[in-house]
Amino acid sequence: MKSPPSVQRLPLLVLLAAGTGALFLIIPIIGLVGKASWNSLLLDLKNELVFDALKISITSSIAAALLAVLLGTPLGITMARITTRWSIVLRSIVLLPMILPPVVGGSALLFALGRNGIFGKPLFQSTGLILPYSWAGVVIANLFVALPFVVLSVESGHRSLDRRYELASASLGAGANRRLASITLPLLRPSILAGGLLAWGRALGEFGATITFAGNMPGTTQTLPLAVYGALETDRQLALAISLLMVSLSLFIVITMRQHWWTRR
Amino acid sequence: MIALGNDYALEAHFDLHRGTLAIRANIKVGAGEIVALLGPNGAGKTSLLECIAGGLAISNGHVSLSGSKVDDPGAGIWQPPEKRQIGMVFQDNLLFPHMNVIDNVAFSLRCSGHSKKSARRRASEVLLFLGIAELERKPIEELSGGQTKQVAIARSIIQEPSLLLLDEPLSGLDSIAGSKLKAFAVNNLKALQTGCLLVTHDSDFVVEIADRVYVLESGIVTEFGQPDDLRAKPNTPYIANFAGTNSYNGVLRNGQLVINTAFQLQVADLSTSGPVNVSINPRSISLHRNTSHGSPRNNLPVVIDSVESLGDITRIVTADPTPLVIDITTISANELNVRQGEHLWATIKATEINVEPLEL
Repeated sequence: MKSPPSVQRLPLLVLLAAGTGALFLIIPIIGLVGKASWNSLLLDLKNELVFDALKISITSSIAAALLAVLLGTPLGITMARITTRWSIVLRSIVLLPMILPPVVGGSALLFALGRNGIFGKPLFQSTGLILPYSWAGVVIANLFVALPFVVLSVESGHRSLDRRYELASASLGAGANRRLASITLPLLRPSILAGGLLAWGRALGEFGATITFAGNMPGTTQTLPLAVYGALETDRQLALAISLLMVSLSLFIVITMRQHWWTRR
Repeated sequence: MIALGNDYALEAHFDLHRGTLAIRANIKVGAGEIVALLGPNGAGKTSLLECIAGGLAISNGHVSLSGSKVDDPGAGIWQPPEKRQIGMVFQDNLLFPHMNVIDNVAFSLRCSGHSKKSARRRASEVLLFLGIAELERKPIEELSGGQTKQVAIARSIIQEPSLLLLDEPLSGLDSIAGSKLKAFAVNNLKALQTGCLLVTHDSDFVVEIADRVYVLESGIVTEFGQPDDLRAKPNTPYIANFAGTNSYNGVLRNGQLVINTAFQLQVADLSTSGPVNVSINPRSISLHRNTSHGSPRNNLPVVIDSVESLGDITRIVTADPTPLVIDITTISANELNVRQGEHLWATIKATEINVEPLEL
């Protein structure tokens, strides 16, 4: 029996280009997997340097993602609601870290929050706190690049919400606080989660801003990407092993995101 | 806000200007009164309801609830929607999708400080009272269209508001769900003693439930009168169309009514003459295969344009130059076996033709 002609059948050229694109994305992963010496993989990873970097990467990226959700959700909601011309200015500021080279972002953080920075100096003089070259510095560098993802996700989620849910809940007696807590935030949950996961993924892979602002000190500020960079110079097998570890972590984020975001309605 | 017993649940005299929309409203709803608001699509009925609920601000005039002003731009008075204690049922319901039925219904009690337990207990009672107790634990996405509407009504009446706004409660429902909801509304809203402003496109519903009728046409809300008059005296083409009735302009002289050269009728009313508005109830017209003879009757040759079954009633529309809307029982429609394009005879008793002098 002949199958019915499908309207979804695509021209060969499109399929070829699509295949090339997919191949391009998979080739580096094949390189990693193919070059890895699987026998010594676990042994390579059983290494204090790797363990420290993993710990710093996980803790700082999760802290940055949580802070991004905490600060980015209100910012996204505000941006979805303001209608003045200031919204253009605000949106540009929010988008900037996504376009800016991370190294520039890290330098900017250093000039602002470094021990001699505009804000860092009075902070150091009044509290003795030094942010660069510390775990907190890693979190700040991560937050700087990850925050826009939450803001944009929440803003677009809020724009697609039916505003009349607010009137519906208000007519039932809900004041502004309850409307936010009981209606708006629960309805924004998928956007907040998606933004948080994107922010986490971005923070986990952060390199440029971190190395500029927090440095590359094993045990204090060296994250997994920084450890890979360092190991490439000295121990290629170790670099491979850490890279594979990062591939698994990233896969985990992608799969979680799929469940929370792409399948959303 | 202390309301006096004889105050209207709603007094609204206002202008609303919003974009291209301009509405002048003058509406009163008595305590426990059910008032219908009719008007063509896009006339601004929903905006008008949102003004009353506090979702939109009026341009001038005032909105008063139970004798207290809640919006009066001239006097600088503005009460936000959460302070107005109005129940509103939206056209698309807007049940909260992240809560189940009972938590949707209990929501307003939670807002007014009830504990979760006592709010749910009261919500349970309301659902039981309305005859939909079985929906209690259902998630919103599992409800049918009719059930969603019933839950939306339950949610808006649990606080016993003095005013309930209903926006097109029958929209999106099929005819069976629509009839069920009508019965639900007639049984429950009449019993509530809540002032009710109802926007609907269903003339049967209006006649069945409403105490008075307002019409919003060309941006102005005017009081129409009694629901029964919709069919008996439809004074504008919109109302005639809404009521599914027949409305024509013609000239009457000595009981002979001329609508056009091919459409002339004998009427019983001999006292009126000159230009008149003519209305004929669709149920007062019968259809026959042959001309019938009898006391003052009008027999008109007609061509069938469309046949539509409305359940027990079948609505037949005939073509120009004698355009008539005729409602006959589905049983007799089946006996007659009416088909589109057929030539039949329409019979109208002279006493069933209403004429009103046209004011020129």
